[in-house]
Amino acid sequence: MLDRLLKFEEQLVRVEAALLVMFVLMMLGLATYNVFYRNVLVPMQVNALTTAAQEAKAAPAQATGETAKEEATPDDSAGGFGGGFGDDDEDGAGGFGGGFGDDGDDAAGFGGGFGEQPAEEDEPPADPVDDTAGFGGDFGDPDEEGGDGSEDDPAGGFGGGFGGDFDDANAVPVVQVAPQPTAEVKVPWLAKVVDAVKLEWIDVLLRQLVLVVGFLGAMIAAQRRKHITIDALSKVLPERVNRWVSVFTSSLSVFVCLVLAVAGIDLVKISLEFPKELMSWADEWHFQLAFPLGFGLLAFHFAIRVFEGVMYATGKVEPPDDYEPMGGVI
Amino acid sequence: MSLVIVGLLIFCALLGAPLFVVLAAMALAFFTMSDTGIVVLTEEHYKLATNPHLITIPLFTFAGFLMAHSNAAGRLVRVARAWLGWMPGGLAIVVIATCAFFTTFTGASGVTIIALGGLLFPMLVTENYPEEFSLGLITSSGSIGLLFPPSLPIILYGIVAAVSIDDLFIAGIAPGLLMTSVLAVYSFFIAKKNNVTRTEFTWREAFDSARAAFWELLVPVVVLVSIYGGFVTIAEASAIAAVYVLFVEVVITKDIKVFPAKEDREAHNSLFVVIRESMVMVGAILVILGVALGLTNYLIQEEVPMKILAVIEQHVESKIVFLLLLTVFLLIVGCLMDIFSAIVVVVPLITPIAAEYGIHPVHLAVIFLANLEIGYITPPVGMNLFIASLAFDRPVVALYRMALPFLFLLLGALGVIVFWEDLSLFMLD
Repeated sequence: MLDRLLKFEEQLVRVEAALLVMFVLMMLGLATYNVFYRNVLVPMQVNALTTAAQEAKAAPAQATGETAKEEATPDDSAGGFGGGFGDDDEDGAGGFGGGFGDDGDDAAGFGGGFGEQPAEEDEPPADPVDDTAGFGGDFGDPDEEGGDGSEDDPAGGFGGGFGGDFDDANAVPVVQVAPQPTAEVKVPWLAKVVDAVKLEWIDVLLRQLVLVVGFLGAMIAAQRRKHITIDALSKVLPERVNRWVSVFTSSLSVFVCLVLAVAGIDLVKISLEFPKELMSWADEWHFQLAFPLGFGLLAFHFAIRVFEGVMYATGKVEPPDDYEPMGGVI
Repeated sequence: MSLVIVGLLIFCALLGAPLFVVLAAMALAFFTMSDTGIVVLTEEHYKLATNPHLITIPLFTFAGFLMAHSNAAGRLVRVARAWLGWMPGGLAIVVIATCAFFTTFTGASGVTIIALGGLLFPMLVTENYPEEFSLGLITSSGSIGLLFPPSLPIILYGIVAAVSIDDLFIAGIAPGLLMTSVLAVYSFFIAKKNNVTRTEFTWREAFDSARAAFWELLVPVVVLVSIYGGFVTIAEASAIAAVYVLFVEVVITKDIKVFPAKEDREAHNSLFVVIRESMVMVGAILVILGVALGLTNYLIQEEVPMKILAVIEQHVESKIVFLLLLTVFLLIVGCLMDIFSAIVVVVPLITPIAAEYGIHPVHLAVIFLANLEIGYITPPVGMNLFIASLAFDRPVVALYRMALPFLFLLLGALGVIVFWEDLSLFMLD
């Protein structure tokens, strides 16, 4: 019985590992593409556009300035693109509010819970009760652009990072004021190609993938008892006791993971009720499925640890030589 | 009631329940008691997906594991030896330098001691270094690079505490150098006393070894130049680092096999294994980070940091006393918890309190990380002591004794770091 279960788990872990490796490779590929796009293609495009603008002499002063607005659509995918990975805002005190708010959906949500004081730490110490979290973050952003300008410079203000921040500061109207330069300047083919290969969903997808990858890694960690523990006591307890202790801790893990899986189902339910499109081919809840599935599978792995632990502790099955009830140190 | 639950759960943690389970259980209990839906927990966890820095964690870890699983360790040791080995205590300095390099990229997960210890320990002993000194040195060097960019704990700290990661990278350099040089100076004297063998410096070996390790030596340069040269963001730099190291280890040195022979599928150097192992670590960190966000949300909502502050303020008035208390507290934390969980759990609690005492957030980060670095070798349960005890097959009590001189030296350096704020901040604008 135990043998079969363990074999089944082994197969399951193999599938999980295969998925994991696939996702990581995907992540690498997409991230590389993004780096290439932002740092090679976009500057090339800017270059082409400015040259075209100069030739046309249409609006010499504003041309580049106006192109800057092109990318900054109010929807949060622009935050993604504009920011590359969105972290132009990492420089200043408001980095956190800015970073999290980047998505535009609820800057105050995270800030409120977590980052409000830090967000303002450069200023006189923040009052933690003060609920201006998202606010602080947002206001931080425009300043940061100044400090971090180097990053945007190569892009000549061509939206390299402005998207996310304007978005953040709810400055959408400003963004939309500017007319498209295409009306007066003949857009070179290169610029069109660069626009065509802009995949703004990459950033969004990358961030979601990190969570999925995290769950898959956690599952394998559960199989191998490699989750991070404090376990100061187990180092002094005798092995016999430790076997039962591990049964207990694994049971606790099963229980908690199951509750978290239920919370995950709730999360998906809410998102089904208020669907939010992350990219043209996926809604938020598609990725949120990772929570019920992830915690569910974690619970399954821990359940096998419980069963295995009982078998070994009662002596019904002889544990393998390398069996360590509390897991290895690393 | 809450205290009973917290007490019980801490007991479970000490018994060895996974930390993420303990944290999630705490959050679940609190939210249920305050009649909040438990969905808050997954909501907070999901908000990780909006953090632009998150992707640096898997990518830098992957880059670090690639190097740890390749023969980079051997090449780096060789080059460090060729260039530094002629000094008295040269080999010991080699140990410190290479360990720092590896810890920076792997985040002091014990990988350093495992990957380098087996290689360096025999070398030290053959060159006449006392065995106790050698083991103590490797054990304490196992976490020495934490303050250098682009170390994972720094990034995680930046994410959790909302401090600019760029600033943290810069601020960590001088304190990190201080800690490494304290160890280096000590090694110098030990080497003098024991008349250790020195390697002769030859231009030929210096050149050859540098050529062999050239691409790996460039890794930090690539990362730092791309970030501070103003080319890319940290997230992009992590992608560049990962792809660069992948290219170096697969195509140039051919250490890592993409398609290993069938019987080598599970070999140390198969790409599949490297990705899987690195992500097991990432998964273990991220799941803690995710559930901790839910718990933090509750703690902030209930103003727990402020309540703690109110208590502390009654007894502690001066900044200096507070810093001392903080240091002792963090040493205990660093000894009990690994660095990642410590950051996730403790940072949200102490940042508002430290701000009240006028401690610069970047300086606080450096204090925090330096403390945890030392926590790794603090008896009775510092993690490096146990890892070294396993890796070198010595009783852990013996390692306590061997690591003790290093512990005192590092504590001295820590004192300087804690009370000399400008050491961390002078390079910031």
